[in-house]
Amino acid sequence: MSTENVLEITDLEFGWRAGTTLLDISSFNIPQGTSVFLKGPSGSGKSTLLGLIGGVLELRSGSIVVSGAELASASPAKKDRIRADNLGIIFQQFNLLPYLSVLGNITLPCRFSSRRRKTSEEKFGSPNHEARHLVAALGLPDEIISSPVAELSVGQQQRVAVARALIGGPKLIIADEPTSALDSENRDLFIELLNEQRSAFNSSLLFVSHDSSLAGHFDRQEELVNLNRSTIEVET
Amino acid sequence: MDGLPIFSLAFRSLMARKFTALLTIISIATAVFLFSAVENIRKSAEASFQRTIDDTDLIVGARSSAINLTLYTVFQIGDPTNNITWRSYEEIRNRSDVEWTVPISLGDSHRGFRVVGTSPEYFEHYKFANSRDLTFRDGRVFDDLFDIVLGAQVARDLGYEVGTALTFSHGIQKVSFSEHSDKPFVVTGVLSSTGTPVDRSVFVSLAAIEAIHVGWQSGTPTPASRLATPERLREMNLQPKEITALLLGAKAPVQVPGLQRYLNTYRAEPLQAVIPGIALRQLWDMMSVVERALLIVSSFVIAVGLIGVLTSILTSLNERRREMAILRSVGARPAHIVGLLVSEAALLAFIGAVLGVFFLYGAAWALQPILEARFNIGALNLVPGWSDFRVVSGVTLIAALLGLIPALIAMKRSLSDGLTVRV
Repeated sequence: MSTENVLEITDLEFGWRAGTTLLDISSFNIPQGTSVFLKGPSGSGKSTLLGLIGGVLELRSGSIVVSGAELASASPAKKDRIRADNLGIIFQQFNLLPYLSVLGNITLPCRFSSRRRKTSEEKFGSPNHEARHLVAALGLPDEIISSPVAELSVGQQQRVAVARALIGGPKLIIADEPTSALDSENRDLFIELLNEQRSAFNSSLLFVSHDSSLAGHFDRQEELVNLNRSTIEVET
Repeated sequence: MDGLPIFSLAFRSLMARKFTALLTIISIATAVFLFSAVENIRKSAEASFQRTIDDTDLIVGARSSAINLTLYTVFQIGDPTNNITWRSYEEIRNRSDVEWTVPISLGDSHRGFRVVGTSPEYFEHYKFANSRDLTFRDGRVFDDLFDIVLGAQVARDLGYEVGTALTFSHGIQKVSFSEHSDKPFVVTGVLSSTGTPVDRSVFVSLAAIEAIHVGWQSGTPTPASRLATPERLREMNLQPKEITALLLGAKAPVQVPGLQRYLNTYRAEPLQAVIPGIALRQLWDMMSVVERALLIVSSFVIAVGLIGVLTSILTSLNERRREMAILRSVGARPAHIVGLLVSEAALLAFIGAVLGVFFLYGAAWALQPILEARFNIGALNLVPGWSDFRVVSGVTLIAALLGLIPALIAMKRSLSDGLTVRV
């Protein structure tokens, strides 16, 4: 087991029903500090893969090691803790809880992961300080921090989601089509900012998208259809 | 990962849905208000009921039912069926095991308030609410034939003070056609408020009761009544031949059962002796059926309020699927999802219940003077107590349990949704 990889997938098999296999991946690794572009059209099983890495789905066989911790044999509670401590997840859209302010949304992971809270305290004094730092670093206006999220543009919301994913320095950032709601100009800027900030934290990035025009921004490119030996293309 | 972050999330989530949350809270508050009000009134009614008479060992009257006897002697409700002869009264009074007796003679009324003929010892021996004495707010006990003592409410309602002169009517109708308008009675004393039927009584001496009826036969005045001027009345022998009932104190508590048996089997005339505490208990049990019915109705109101909490959370679940996926993605466990929704339900119920109790005591406090004056509820509870604490915690607990229903649904969904944000 190499400690340099933040994600190691070996001989993974998954299917929703017995007899059918949706995902069959022999090997997929992400070394620390690198960014990987994973091309996956809708229906290719990418959401399922993210669910497996996130530890909310149960794999049939094989192994997924996140930051040195094996998910396959972990209890559900342990998987939840591994996710809370090590993963920062950015969704396509509507990333934020409407009833929390921007600050509340950014610091949310620190409520569930004491490790990320501690990291934040060590580096910035407190999660709130780190949130302010991230807001500035991501080019958002300072006063946004106390705004309700409903007042933000889609682009601003996605940047706040980046700040939330980065807070407390998780090992791996997973971004699932985070730019699909953005126009092309904002798209490149968004990816640049994301890359810049996650390098500053030395976090790795798994960027999932169907849009191969974005692939150039990343250290490595993979296609899920190549990784996946299973030919069934059913996405639930 | 302690519970507190989830609790504050629940609070903020509710704040974001202020309108629905507020409506739900109001329905719970109303239900708790109603429930606690009924419970409270029931308790203070029972308390003021039980404290109407104390330290009297036996109430003795003509034979009827224990409840009837208690009603007309203590509560001045209903009419006596028969009287006790003065001879029997004296015999009872002179017994060696009897410490004291107080005669009571009923029948007349003054503007809707019962006139009670008695002896001055009444004010010495009548006790209420844990041996409390009757006290005079103003003036003193009657000693003249035309002296009267008023209960607190009589004085307040009729605007009488010491020195007011008045007349009496025969019978108990509020508007009486046969006023004893020729009898110049004068108020010599006003009692302090007791929260008992004493407040609604007009006290005169036994002789005064006789005096009112000099020259009357079968409820109508005879020509002789016109001759009964105050001056003449004073010269007459006004020794009563009968009284309605008597209150009795035994020398020692152990003698009470023996005395009661003696009186219940009295040879000269059919008498009945009841122990006030037991009679009051029986009376209350009869009346408490109504309170219990009210309590059941208000329990149902609480149940409806709680179902409202459940409904408001259940209907919000669909639009909150994304929220659950986001929470899961930042590390929330299924237990956190359950905790969030259970906390919301409990929080709604708790805030509602506390508000309900708060409004109840606010209202009780503000309306206290009116309530006490109108309904004679002297024992009105003005401070939230143990029972309110139980209502609040009970309602909160049941809401939390009901909250488990949407919580488990959301948890099940969040497990199958995984990290997929379904809009």
